[in-house]
Order: sequence, then structure tokens, then C-alpha cells
Amino acid sequence: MLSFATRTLRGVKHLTTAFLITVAAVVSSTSAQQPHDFGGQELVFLTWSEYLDPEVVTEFENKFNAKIKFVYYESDDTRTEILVASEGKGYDVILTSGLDVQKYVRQGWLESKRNLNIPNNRHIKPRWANAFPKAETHAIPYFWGTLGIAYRKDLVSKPITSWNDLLNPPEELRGKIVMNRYSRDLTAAALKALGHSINSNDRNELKAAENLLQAQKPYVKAYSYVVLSEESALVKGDIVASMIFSGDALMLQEHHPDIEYAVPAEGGNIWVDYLAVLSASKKKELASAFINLLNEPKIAARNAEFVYYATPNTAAEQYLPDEYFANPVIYPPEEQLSKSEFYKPLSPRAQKLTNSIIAQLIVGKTIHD
Amino acid sequence: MRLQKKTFLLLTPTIVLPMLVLGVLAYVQLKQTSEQKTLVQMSTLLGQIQLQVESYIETAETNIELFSNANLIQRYMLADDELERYELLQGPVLTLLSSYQKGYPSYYEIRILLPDGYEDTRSTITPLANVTEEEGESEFFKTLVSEGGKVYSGFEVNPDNGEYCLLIAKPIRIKDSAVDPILAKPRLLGYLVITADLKFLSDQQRQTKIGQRGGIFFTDRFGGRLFESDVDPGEHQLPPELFSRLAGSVAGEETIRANYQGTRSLLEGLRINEDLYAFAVLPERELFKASRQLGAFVAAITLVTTLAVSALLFVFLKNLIITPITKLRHTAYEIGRGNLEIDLNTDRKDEIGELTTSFREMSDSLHRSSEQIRYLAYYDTLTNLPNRSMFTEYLKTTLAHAKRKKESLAVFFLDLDNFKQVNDTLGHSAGDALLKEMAGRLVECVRGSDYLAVPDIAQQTIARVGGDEFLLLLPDVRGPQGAAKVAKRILSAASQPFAISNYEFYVGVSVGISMYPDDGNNPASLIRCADVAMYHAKRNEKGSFRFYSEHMNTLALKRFTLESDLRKAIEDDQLRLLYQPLVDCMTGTVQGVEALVRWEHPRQGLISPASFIPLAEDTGLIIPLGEWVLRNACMQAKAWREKGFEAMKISVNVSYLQFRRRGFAETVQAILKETNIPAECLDMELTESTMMEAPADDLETLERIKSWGVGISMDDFGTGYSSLASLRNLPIDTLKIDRSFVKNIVGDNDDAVIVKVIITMARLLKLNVVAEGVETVDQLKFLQREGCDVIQGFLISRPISSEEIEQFVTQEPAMTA
Repeated sequence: MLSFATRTLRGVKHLTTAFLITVAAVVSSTSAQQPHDFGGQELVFLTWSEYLDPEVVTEFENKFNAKIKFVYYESDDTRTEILVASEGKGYDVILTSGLDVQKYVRQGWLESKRNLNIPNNRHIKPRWANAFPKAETHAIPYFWGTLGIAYRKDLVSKPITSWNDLLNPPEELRGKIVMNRYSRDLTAAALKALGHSINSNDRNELKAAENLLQAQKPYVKAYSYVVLSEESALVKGDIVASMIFSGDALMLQEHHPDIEYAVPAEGGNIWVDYLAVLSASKKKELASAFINLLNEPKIAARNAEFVYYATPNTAAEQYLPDEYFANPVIYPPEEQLSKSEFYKPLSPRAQKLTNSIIAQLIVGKTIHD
Repeated sequence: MRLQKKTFLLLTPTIVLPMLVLGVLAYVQLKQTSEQKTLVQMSTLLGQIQLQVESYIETAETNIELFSNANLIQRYMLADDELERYELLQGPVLTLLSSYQKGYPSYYEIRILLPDGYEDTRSTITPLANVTEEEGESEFFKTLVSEGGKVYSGFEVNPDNGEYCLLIAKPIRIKDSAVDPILAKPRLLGYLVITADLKFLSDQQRQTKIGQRGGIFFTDRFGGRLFESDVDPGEHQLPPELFSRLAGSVAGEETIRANYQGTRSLLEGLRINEDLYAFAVLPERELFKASRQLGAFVAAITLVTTLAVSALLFVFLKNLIITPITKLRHTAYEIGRGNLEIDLNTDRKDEIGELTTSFREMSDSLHRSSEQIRYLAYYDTLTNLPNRSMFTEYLKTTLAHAKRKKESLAVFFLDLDNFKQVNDTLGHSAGDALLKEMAGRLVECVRGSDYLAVPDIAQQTIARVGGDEFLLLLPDVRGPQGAAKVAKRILSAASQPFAISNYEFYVGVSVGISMYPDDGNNPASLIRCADVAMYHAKRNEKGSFRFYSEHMNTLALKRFTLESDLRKAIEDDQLRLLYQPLVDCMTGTVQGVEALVRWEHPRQGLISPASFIPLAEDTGLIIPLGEWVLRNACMQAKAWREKGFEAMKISVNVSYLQFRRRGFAETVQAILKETNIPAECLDMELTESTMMEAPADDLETLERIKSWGVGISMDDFGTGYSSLASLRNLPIDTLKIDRSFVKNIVGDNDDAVIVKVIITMARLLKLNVVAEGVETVDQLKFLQREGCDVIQGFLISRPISSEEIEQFVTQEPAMTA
């Protein structure tokens, strides 16, 4: 009896909310034919932590009478491990790096956009939509950014400008460095420092990169990713420099003004993160609604301001302040971008070598900072 | 001590020999056990190691089955597409392998090999350089291929680090799911290979110790030692000859004695696997060392036990036999030396006890007869008095004592005057009886003396030294007078009639006296002097005594004369009273007089009381003398009253002996009644010391007298250290300050203070104060200033006759303050 009463009450409330939203949708006339009440369904979202404005989540949950369950990974490799272990099942929406889209599609894990109802896809800039193989057909860009170095300018004697500053650290940095755990990010840093492409398939170049990374290993505190809250080791000063994604550095800056972000002079990696729906998902409508909502221009703009990353959504740009575009961390100058590269798939032997290099590297090192 | 030695010589072999035999037997037995134990320990150890290795291999084989069946591994092996394999799956596979290694840290390398021997995936627990990715040509891989589908395990040297390791490999065969499962045959897709370290064996080798320097070691099938040892570095390769011997012995589980590392050693081996041999080794000298230690230990125990048992037995036997015998021997020695009073313990019931009892009886009887002999030697059997020898001994001791104490002593020599006649007329038995009776009387005399109250000593001080001669010793005698007193007593006792055999007759005794230190300082000379003096006495007048020295005779005589004169003086009225006035300190009014006695000797003239009062006290004449003074003073008071001098109070000195004599109060009462004067007219002066020494009974007498109205004065106050509290309890009215204080009150501050205090104190106690011996006006002024009540002294008047007193009172000079 009790449970029945509760359900009834909640139902009434949701009906009211749904009604209001419907009215708003009709007024804005942007929405296509979409159901607005999912009866409390749960959407499982595999993503990075702190990569989505919680208010947006609340808005989605209220609007569609649904729940989002977050599952976080800490590196691109971990995400792949998770999906391999579950064989692409168990999640509805995933956030993936552009490079991995093709791998997952090849496994048949990602649903084609044709079968999804995401009208707001039209706001996406084509440059980002097709930046990686299979991305255009199976994924929607979320944000893009650069890979660089965050450091405490108050704790170093001279600004950090190069990957070499991390890989050949001066005394003041030793033992106070955090490097990403992702294999390609690690080889990318070393290859760039050596003047090679981050997508090198050359065995010798990779071996040289390995030597550089092995030489740096004693001075690395952890192969991991820094926490973005006030509790971060970088805020506390236990860590002086860390590999980081551009927007995350800005997020940390809020906690400590002396945290500086640098795209190394050699250039780095330009990455694009994509949202995709797993073909095994039973909640594709809800997943579509979720991705579509995230690409509502105003919501996309709000979310961008929360995460400090550049949005691929052109319609959202009008809602963003000018100083947002003037921020060189979010929108790096063209000469920096020109030295940086997207990741491309490696040859199997190069990939195998990279795997082995990283396996040898992170052996015996703590994962968390 | 010879018995002791013999006992010891007898005991030692009886204890030592069995103990030695026991010790040797124990040693042999323990040695064998210990050696066997070591050997068993060695083979047990090897057995345990074998079990460990087998278990290690078994675990690894089970694990490799589990690992290879993991879904991810199977998928990885099936992925034909290199892209899928390396881009997507290899990362997770490495993570999985790495997680296995966290659970099994000894699997320091896990690899996936392709069927051609190409090393596809490799996960190491620590960074480890890879020598080659192509395993196809290695011995191990060839064996692996030839083994077919089974799990392979074997010991190899890992080329990556040069260490001996355990390799476990499992072929992975999977049916391709793309093909119909019924038709499909499992396809060989590759091998999973675990490289496991043998750390547990090297640890075992390091930790295991057999004895001090022995241990275990491992070899491969060629006799190459597998793990370096800190303790025992040595050659890497065992000598082939030794190894073949050892390898040969393995099956038989026998122990080999051989040179190992240059040391003669005991070796035992075990083939754990065709590629792994384990050996236990113990230097032979250590085995012997253990035996030697054991031997030393057994010897020590044997020695200690022998000593302990010997000591215990020896002590026991000593207590049982030797000590009592030694004691008896000692006793016999003591008896020989004349010490017969021996305390022997006869509690024991055995032969030694009986011997002791006999010994004791003998000793007792010896003691008795020796006592008898001693008695005969020192005593006169007739009178039971000491004889001359004993007397001389005793005199000697007493003399020494007297010398130390600076006392004098007297020796009497007595001789009966008419003894010969008694003997001749009444026979010897009567003579003996007389002597006995005489001895008794002498003892009585001495016992009655002031000096010797103890009968034992009395007996020792009188000796019979010849037929009718006696010697007597008076220790600590007070001059010739004291001796004379005792002599008179003896003469008096001897002059009483003797009643023997129904006859009554008189014998006298003549006494000669010598004095120490005047007449001699050794027994012989003192006795001789006394003897000489006795002859003088006998020749002079039978029944008299004489001192050896004339001077003493004179002294004694003078005293006796004085004594009889004083007696006579009291009877013949040679005594006279003088009076000294006591006047009021402020007004000079006569308050009374003090009566003072004078002796007008018919030949010697006026004798002062200082000369005859002590004599009177010594002889007891003080009693009649005191009574005389009291009576005459009272009579004078009566006369004065009758003449009209009513207020005249009369003070009389009362001596200690007088006061203490029973019936004193009654005497006073009688005299008061006789003379019919009021008690208030009479004042009695007692010295401070007299009052202080008086017992409570006598104070009661005084209290009684005072209650009649008789005044009581404390004379000579200040010399007796009375306390305030005691003064308060005494029945007195007046304090008389001693003349010695008054004499110095003007010049001497101390005495002035004392007098001031006495006056203040007297006032507090409501007592009158009389100052005696006032001689100057300054003294008077001082006393007036301090508030003294009454004065007496030459300033006022010397003691004067009653007639002069009457004049004095009539004149009564005015006194100025």
C-alpha cells in the first residue's frame, strides 16, 4: 500500500513537470517528436569524472523523468579494458576518445547515428564531426582540447615550456611529477620531445621514446591523472607539474591561482572527445534524448563554461562570452595548434611495441596520486 | 683426622667408579643418538624441500590452467586481426596478466608465445630487459613443442637475467567458434608461459643451518651450484667426480663422507627433479665437535654429581661419627686440663650415645672428688671457715680492688687467750666445740657490721689459720676508728661466757690489727703486721686489741676517750646553750633566738659543735645530746616567759638521726608538756638535705609536730638544690638562707641573684625568709631592699648567754632602714 501511494505521488509530480516542459518545447519549437517521460529509467553513462555540469544532469533527469548512473574511468586504456571485459555491454552512453571510436565500431559495440534520434547533431562543426575515422557515423563530438602541462608557477624557478622539462626534470621537479597513464599520451610526450610525430610507427623512434620515458621514471611520482578538486595534490603542492588536459588545468586554477597551463613548444596532441551509444543498449531513445539535450545550444554553452573546454557546437558559441574565446588555454593560438596532432591508429607492430613499452614502464608504480 | 681421611678414601672410589661407568655409558649412548639425529635431520630436511618443490610446481601447473582459460586470453588468442589484437585487446590482457602477478609475485614473467615461438605478449613484475622475442629456436621451446598438448614444466636458466627458474608452459588450443563445433578441431593458437623464480629455494638455502657451518645447497643436473651462498661461497661448479658420487648415492639415501669445499664433510643428496638436486652438508668436525661437547658435558655432570654426592656423604658421616668423637676427645682434653664441668649431650640412643653417657658419669665423679680435694685444700673442716691459703687468695683480690678504688682495709689477727687450759682440762672435743662456737660468734660480729651484709663474703673474710688463731679481713674500712669499732665488738662477743659440756667458762681474745695502705701493701706483710700487733696486745693486756702502728693506736684511743668524755659530758652537765638573736630586718625587733650548744671540756676547754657533733652522730650519742638541747632550750624559754619575755621564740636544731628516730614526736610532745610552754614558742630547724632525704613517713611526723603549732624552718637553704615543687609539698614555715650566699650578696652578682630569687620564691609560697650570717651594713641594706623578713648574724649579735640575751632584748637597738 505504501509503495503504491508513493509511486502515485511521484507520478503526479512527474506528469506536472513533463507538462511544463512540453509547453516550453512547443514555445521554443526546436524540439522534434520525442517522448518526454521515460518513467524513471536509468541511463548508464561511462565517462570521465567532473566532465559534465551537474545542473545539466538535474535538468535532464527532471525533463525526461529519468536517472543517470555515472561510471567513471581514469584513462582511455581503462575504458577499453572495461568495455573488453563487458564485451561492449552494460552501458548506454559512453564518452570516448576519437581514436577509439574506430576500434569500438570494429567490434560492433557502437550504434550507428542513423538509428539514433539526435536532431541537435546539426549544430556540430564538421571539422570535429569527422576528425577521426568512423566518428561521423557513430559518434557526436563533445568537447575538444589539447594535452599539455599544468604546473605551479610559484614552485618552479622558471616556467615550464617543453616536454623535456618534464622528461628531463630539474631538481625542483624530481619526485613531484604526475604523468598520464594512457599509453599513447606517454609515447606522444616522448616522441614530441624527440622531435618526432606522435603517430610514429618507426621502431627506432619508439625505442628512443622508451629510453627517454624509462630515464624519467625515477622522478615520476605516479602514472595517473590528478584529481580536479581542492584536494588535488597539485593544489596542495605535493605535485609541482602534471600532464593534463587543457580545461582541467583551468578547473584547477579556480582552486589555486598559481597553477599555470602550458602547451609545450614542441606541440602536443589535439584531442576530441565523442559521445556514443552502445549498440547493446536497450535505452537508445533515452540515450538519444540525453545526447540531444547536451547539444541544445544554451545547454552546450553552459556545460562548456563548466568544464572549460572548447565546444564543437557552433550554435552554442553565441551564448558564450567573448573572453571565453579569448582564453588561449581553451582556444589555443593557431601556431600552437599547427604543431599539434590528432592521434592516428598505429601499425599493429608499432601498437604492440607501444603496449610493451608502457607495460614495462608502469610496472611497479602507483596508479593514484 | 685419620679416621676422617680413611672415610674419605673409602667413600671416593665407591662413588666415583660407578659414576664414571655411568658417565661413559651415557656418553656413548648420547653420542650415537646425537649423530643419528643429525643424519635424520638432514634427510628430513631434504624430504621437506622436495615436497616444497613439488607443491610449487603443482600450484604453478594449476594456475597456468586457470590463467589460460580466462575469457580475455581466449579472445585474445582467437583475434586474427592484428589491429583488434594490439589496439584493443593487448592492453587489457597485459592488465590481467599483471593482476595475476600481483597475486603470485614469484611469477615474475608471464608470456604469450605464438605457435612459431614468436613472443607476442610479455608481462614482467619488474622491468626486465628482453633478450629475444624469437623463442622458436630455444631448447625450451623445442621441448615444449615436442611435448604436445600437455602442460610443460622444467627448470632452466632464464637468459633475461641468468637465473635458474621454473618454466611452466601450456599450449592454448581453441575450437574456432566460426566453424561448426562438431566438425571443428581445436587449433593450436599459442602458448601461455610462466617464468617462476626459485627464491623460496635460495631463501631456504640461506636460512637453513645444520650445526654451525653446515647447510644445504642445490645444483642442476651437471653439478652447477644454483644459488650463491654468503656463508659458503666456494666454486660454482662441483667437482665432477664428487657430483657423480653424490648423484649416484641419491637413490640409496646413503650418507657420503667426502671433501667438500676443502673440508671433510658429511653429505646427503636428493634428486628433486632431473634438473634439480638438493644436498645437505655438515663438516665432519662439527659432528665430532657436538660429540666432544656432549662428552665434556657428561664429564662435567659426572664430576659435579661425584663431588656433590661425596660432599653430602662426607657431611653425613661426619655428623654421625666424626663430630661426636671429636667432641668426646675435646671433652677428655678438657677433663685432663682440670675443667670438669662439661656439658655433654647424651640424647643419642646408639653406641656413641652410650659412650657419651659413660664419659659424662666419669666426668661427674671426677668433678665431685676434685671438689672435695679443693675443699680440703681451702677450708678448715672443723669450723668450715676458709683456711690460710684461701684467706690469702681472697686478701690478694680484695687488695687489688682496694688499690684500684683507693680504699683502705684492715686485717685482724685473733688469738684465743685461754684455749690451752680448756683443751687440757676438758679434752679436745671441748676445745673443738669452743672453736666452733667462737667461729660462729666471729661470723655474727662481722655480719652485724656495717660493711659486710652478705654471709658468703663474711665466711670468706674470716679464716681459721692455726689451733686457736683466726684471721679477719675488713674491706673498705673507714680509718682506724672503723676498725676499732669492729674490734671492740669482737672483744665484747668473745668476753661472753661459753657453755660447753655443761660447763660455763670464759675465754678472751686478743686482736692485732694492720691497715692497708699504712702498714703494708701485700697479704704477707699485712698478716705479719697483724700477728705482731696481736702479740703486743696479748702482752699488754689480754682481751684487748692493738693496731700495728702506734699512731693509729693513738687515734683510736683519742676517739674512744672523746666518746666516753661526751657521754660523761651529757651526764655531768658540761654542755651549755648559747643563743643568737633573730631580728626583724626592717625594725630590728627581736623575733626570737636560735639555741646553740657548747661543750666546756674540763681539760680541753670549749669544744666547738663542728668537732663533737659528727662524733655524736657516729656513735649515736646525738640522740641523748639532741634531747638534752631540746629540753634545756624549752626550759630556758619557760624561764624567759616567767621573766616576762613572752614573745621570745626559740629555735632548736634537729639532726637527721634524731628526727628519724622512732618516737621523736612523742619526745617533743613530752618536753613541751614538761616545760609547759606553748608550741608556738618552739621552732625546729632541719637542714635542707635532711628534709629532701626524708621518706614520706618522716614527713608525716613533721606534719604532726607542725600541726601542734611548732614552727618548722628549713636550715641552710640553697645548698640542697630543692625544687619549687618539692618546697610546696614540705610542711615548713620559714626558709633560712645559707650564710654562704649572704656572705657575697654585695659583691657577687650570682649570689645576689640567687638570694633575690629565694626571697621572691618564698614570698610566692608565703614563707618567712631568714638570712643567716649577716655581718655588714651593706648586706643588711641589700636584704632590706629585697624585702627579707628576718636577719641573724654577727652584725646583730654573736651567740650569747641567756643573761646577755635578756640584756639585749631590753636594750633593743633601733635599726635604720
